[in-house]
Amino acid sequence: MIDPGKYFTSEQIDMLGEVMNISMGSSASAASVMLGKRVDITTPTVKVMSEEHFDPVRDEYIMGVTISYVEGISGRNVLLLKRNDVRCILECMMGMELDAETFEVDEMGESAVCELMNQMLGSSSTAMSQFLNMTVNISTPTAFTIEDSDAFKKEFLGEDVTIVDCDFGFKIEDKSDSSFCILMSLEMANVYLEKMKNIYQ
Amino acid sequence: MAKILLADDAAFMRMTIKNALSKAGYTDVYEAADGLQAVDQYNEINPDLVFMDITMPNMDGLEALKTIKSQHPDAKVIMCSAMGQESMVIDAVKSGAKDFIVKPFKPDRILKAVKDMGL
Repeated sequence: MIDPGKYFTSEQIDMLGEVMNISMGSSASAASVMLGKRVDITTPTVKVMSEEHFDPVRDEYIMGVTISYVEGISGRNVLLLKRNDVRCILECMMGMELDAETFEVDEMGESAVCELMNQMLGSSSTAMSQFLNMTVNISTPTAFTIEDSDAFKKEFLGEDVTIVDCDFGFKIEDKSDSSFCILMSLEMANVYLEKMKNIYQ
Repeated sequence: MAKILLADDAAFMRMTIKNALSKAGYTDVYEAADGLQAVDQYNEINPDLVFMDITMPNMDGLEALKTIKSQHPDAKVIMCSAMGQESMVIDAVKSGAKDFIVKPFKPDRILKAVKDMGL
């Protein structure tokens, strides 16, 4: 992990956490309706790291979705979910039990998890829109599975880049107590900070 | 029997809405995976009601709504989107949408919208 102070002041790290907290806080309600369970999403821990130190397979991430802002803000976010959380989500959404060791994400399962993340991020962009007092529009989300860390990084992060990793606590009532992350570039983080600065000035 | 067209790029959402409609007796249901397909399907089957997602590939739901309304002014289209921002709702209503359902929703909300359309 890189000392965030190399890129951001502690105040900016707090602001990033706050803007992500405001936007993703509302997505807990969306997830709760879709899963039929209480969902808690905590204020994120914001880290800065080199892509070479990020290993999604080691950290048990198996699925993600990428969305681009197409209006109001420019940039892209990648949201990643861990294997056991994907299993719990599918159990709730598809109304079935899945074996922790052997379950696989089929086409309908991928569509279900993608739609959950779409609705979470849609709700998040609505919250951000209200907070920033401007229209914030996102692209069609693209879901993907992760089987190889290097292939993921090459496709979604780029080589030799520094990334901002926002880790959120993610609790699904009695089924899971885990975390998910949203990754963004330094440029994207600075876009959020610039918008936040305009709000508080 | 009312003909209902579901336009959503997420197969899971089409399945969820289709199941809710089917349980309520609405079984003449058609599907489109993007805005272009929705326009083509509309011209082909002339449905009584369309549920239209907004964020879709190829042609988004608002564009598809405008295209359908320009060709079929009496078309009944209900927008369904996770993007519940006021500006989008206003844009959709100005473009002729009959209702705007914010995702996530419960099946009852879909059935109420169908009933509200007199179907």
